[in-house]
Amino acid sequence: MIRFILSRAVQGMIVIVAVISITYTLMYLSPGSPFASEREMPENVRESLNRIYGLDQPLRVQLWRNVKSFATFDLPVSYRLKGWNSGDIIAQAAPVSFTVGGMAFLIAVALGIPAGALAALRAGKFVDRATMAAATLGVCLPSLVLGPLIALLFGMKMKWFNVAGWYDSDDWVLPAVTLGLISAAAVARLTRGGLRETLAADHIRTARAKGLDEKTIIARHAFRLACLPLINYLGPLAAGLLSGAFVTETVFQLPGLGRHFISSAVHKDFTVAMTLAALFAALIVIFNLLVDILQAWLNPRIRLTEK
Amino acid sequence: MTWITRLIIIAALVAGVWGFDALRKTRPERVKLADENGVLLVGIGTDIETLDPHIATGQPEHFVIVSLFEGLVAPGVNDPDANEPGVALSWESQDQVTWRFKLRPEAKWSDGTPITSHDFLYAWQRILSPELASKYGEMLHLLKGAAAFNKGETKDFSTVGVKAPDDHTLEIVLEGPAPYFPGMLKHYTWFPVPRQTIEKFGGMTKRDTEWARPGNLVCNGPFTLKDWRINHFIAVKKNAHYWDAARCALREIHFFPIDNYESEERSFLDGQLHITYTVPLAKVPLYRQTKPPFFKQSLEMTCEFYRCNTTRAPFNDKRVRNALSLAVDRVALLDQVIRSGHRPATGLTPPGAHPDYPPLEKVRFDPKEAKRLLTEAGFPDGKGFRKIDILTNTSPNARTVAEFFQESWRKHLGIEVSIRQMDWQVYLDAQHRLDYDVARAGWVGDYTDPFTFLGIFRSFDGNNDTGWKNPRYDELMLASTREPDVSKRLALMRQGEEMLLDEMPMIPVFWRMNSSLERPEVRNWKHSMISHRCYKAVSLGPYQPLMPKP
Repeated sequence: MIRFILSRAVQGMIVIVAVISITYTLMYLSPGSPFASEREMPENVRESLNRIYGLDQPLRVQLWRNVKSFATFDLPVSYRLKGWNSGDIIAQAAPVSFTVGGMAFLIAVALGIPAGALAALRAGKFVDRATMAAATLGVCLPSLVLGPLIALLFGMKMKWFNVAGWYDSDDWVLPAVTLGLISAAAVARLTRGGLRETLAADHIRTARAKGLDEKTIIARHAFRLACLPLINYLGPLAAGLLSGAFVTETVFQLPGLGRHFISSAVHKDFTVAMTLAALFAALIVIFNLLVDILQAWLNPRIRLTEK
Repeated sequence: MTWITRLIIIAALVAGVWGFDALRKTRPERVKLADENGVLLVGIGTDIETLDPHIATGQPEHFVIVSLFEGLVAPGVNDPDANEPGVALSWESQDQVTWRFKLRPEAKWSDGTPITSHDFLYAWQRILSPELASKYGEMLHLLKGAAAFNKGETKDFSTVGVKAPDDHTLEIVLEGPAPYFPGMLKHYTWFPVPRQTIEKFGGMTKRDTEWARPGNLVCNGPFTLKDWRINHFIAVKKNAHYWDAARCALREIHFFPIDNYESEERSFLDGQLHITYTVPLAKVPLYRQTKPPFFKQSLEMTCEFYRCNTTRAPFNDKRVRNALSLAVDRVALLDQVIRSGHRPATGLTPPGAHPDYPPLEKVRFDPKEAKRLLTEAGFPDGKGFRKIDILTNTSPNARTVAEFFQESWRKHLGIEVSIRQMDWQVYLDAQHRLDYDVARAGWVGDYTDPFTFLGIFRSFDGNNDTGWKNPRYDELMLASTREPDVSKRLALMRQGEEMLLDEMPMIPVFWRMNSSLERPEVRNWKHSMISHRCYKAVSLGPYQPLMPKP
C-alpha cells in the first residue's frame, strides 16, 4: 500500500513537470505578446520588457528556469498583475473556488446518488422517468444558462440571496447550487446505470435466492459495486469543481480560480497559467489516487500493486 | 406512511419555505448600508493590473489611481474636464513652452512627509528611465530632452527640461508650445510617486516590487489604499493627510471589476452598486426607450474607426479606401443596428476636443460615388477585387459592426468580405505587425485637444498601424506643435485632418456615447469626456429606492 502510494506520488510529480513544460511551450508558441496593449509601445521598451522577464532567451532556458522555480516553491511573478507572484494570486483565489467547488460537490453527491438510486429501484416507473428527465435536462443545461436563471429567480425575484458577488457569508449558495445541480445530473445517471447493472448481476440473484431481504442486498451487496463507475467519475469531478469554473464565476462574480484560467491564457500570462495548470494537475493526481484506494477498498477484486 | 404524516411533512416544508422567504426578503440592500457608512460602490469594468502609476496602462487603473494620487493639476470639482489646482497652487506660462508651477506647501504624502518639487523630479526620472521599461514613458516626451533620456541616448537627467529651483517650485521646458499641457498633467503618468517607499522596495527602476500593494502603498490623493483583492474589489479610504480632506465627503470607495456587463447590471438592480461602469450593449436601446431615471448617457471623446493596411494591395490605392468609406451608411448602422446613441463620425476628431475645433463634415454615405471610385481604381462592380478580411476583437458589438460593413461592401461594391475575430492580445499584435486587410480599432483621447487623435497617424507614431506614411502630414503636425498662436495651430491641424480624410488610411465609423446606471442618492457625480473623475466632490444622500414611487 505504501509502496503503491509512493510510486504514484513519483509518477504524479513527473506528470506535473510535464504539464508545466507543455503549458509553457504552448503559451510560448501561441501568437501575441504578454506585453501588448492597445497603445503601441516603443521598440526599446518591448525589448527591455522581454529582457527583464527573460523572454528573449531560448525556450529551453526559459523552461528550465520555470521548472526550477516550481521545484523550489519560489513561484514566478505574474506578467500581467505587476508586483504579485503567481502563488499570491492563487492563494487569494483558491479558498473561493474550494468553498464553492466543495459545496457543489456535496450537493451533487447528496442529490445525485439518492435520486439515481431511487430511479434504479423504481426502474421504468414514473419516479424513474421524472428523475431521468430532470437529469438529462441538467446534463444539457450549460451553467451559462442555468446560472443567470438561478440568479434571476433566487436573487432578483425572491431576494433570498445576492445575485452576484463574494461578500456575505452565504454568497457561496447560488453558485454552488448551479454547479451542484449540473453535476448532480451526471451523478444521478451514473448511479442509476451502475445500480441497475449490479442488480441484474449473478451474485445479487444468488443473494436473493439465499433469501436475504431486499434492503440488505441493496445496501451491502449491490451498492458497493454500483459505486465503482460513479467513483471513477467523482475523482475528476472533484478536481474540476475545486479548481474553479469560469462561467459560473463570471456569472456570479466570484474571485475564484476559474477566471484566472481564462484571463491568464487570453493575456498570455505565462506564469499564472503554468501555476494553475500545475495546481489542476496536482488535484487530478491526488483525486485519482484517492479513487484507486477507494475502489480497492470497495471491490476486493482490485489490488493495489504496481505489477 | 399514513396520509397524516405526509400532510405534516408537506405543511412543514411549506412553512419552512415561507419562513425562509420572510427572513431573507427583509435583508437590507448593500447600497443602503453603504449609504449609511459613506461608502461609494463603483463598477470599473475589467480588473486592474497594478496601482503603480508608472506601470499602469489601462482605464480601470486610471479610475482607481486618480483616487489615490494627485498630480500638479486636478480635475475640476464641478467639471472634471476643467483644470483646477492639485499639488500645484498655481502655474504660469508666457509662451506655452516654459512653465512655472508653484507647489502648495501643505501638500503631504499619506505617511505625513511633505511633497516637494523633488518628488516630481524623482517621479519623472523614474518613468522616463529606460531600465523601468514603462510602456507609457512616451506620454512625457513633450518635455524637452525627455525622448532622448527615455531611449537611453543620455544618462544625464539634467538634460530633461525640468528643474526644481526650490522645494516648492517646478520649472518646466517643453519641446514646443502646448496650451493643453495643464490638462495633460491630470494623466497618471505625470503623478508623483513616493520616493521613500519605492527606495525601500528595491529602488527607482526595479519593476514588480510590492510597493504598490495594500499595506505598503503611500500616496498623496484624497484616498489611501485599504484593501485589494484580485478580481474582487479594491477598497480605498479617506486620506487624513490630503490637503483638501475637508472637502472629501466619502469615507470609502469600493471599486468592483465586473467584466461581465450583464452581471454588473444585475448587481446594480439588486442594490449592490451605486454606479456601473457601463450597460450591456443589448440593453441600451431598451433603456433609451423606457428612460428610467437611473440610466445616464454622456459624450465620450472616443472615435471608432477601421484601419486600412495601406501596405497591401488593393488598400494602397486611396480611391479604394475612399470607396470603402463611402459605401457604409453609418446613420443606418447606428439608428437601426447598434441603437446605443453613438453618433455617426463625420471626421476623425470627435466634438469637444477643442471649443474652436468643430468636427469636420467630410465622411459621408454615397454608394454611387463609392462605385465610381472603385471602377476608377480598376474594379468595376468589384470584379477582380480579391476577397478581404475584417480583423476584429471578440466583443459581440465589434462583430455586429463588422457584419454591417461586410454586408454594405458586398451590396454596394460587390466585394466579398470575411470576418476574422481574434483574442485581444493576438488582435493587437496582428495590427502592430500589419498582418490584416482592414481592422476595427478605437482611440480614446488622452487630453482635450485634436492632436491626441491626429498625432497617431504621423508616419513614425507607434499607434499608426496602417503603414500610411505622408511627409506632408508629418510636417503639418510638427508645425502645429511649434505654433504658439492657438487659431493658427488649430488651422494647421484642420489642414492635417482634411488631408487624412482625403487619403483615408482609416475609415471613421462612430463617436462613442457612454452609458451607465447611477443610483439617485449619488451626488455631484460629473461626467467627463475623457473619463476624468473628481471623487472628492462626490457625496451620498440618504437611501432612495431605484424607481420613484408612482
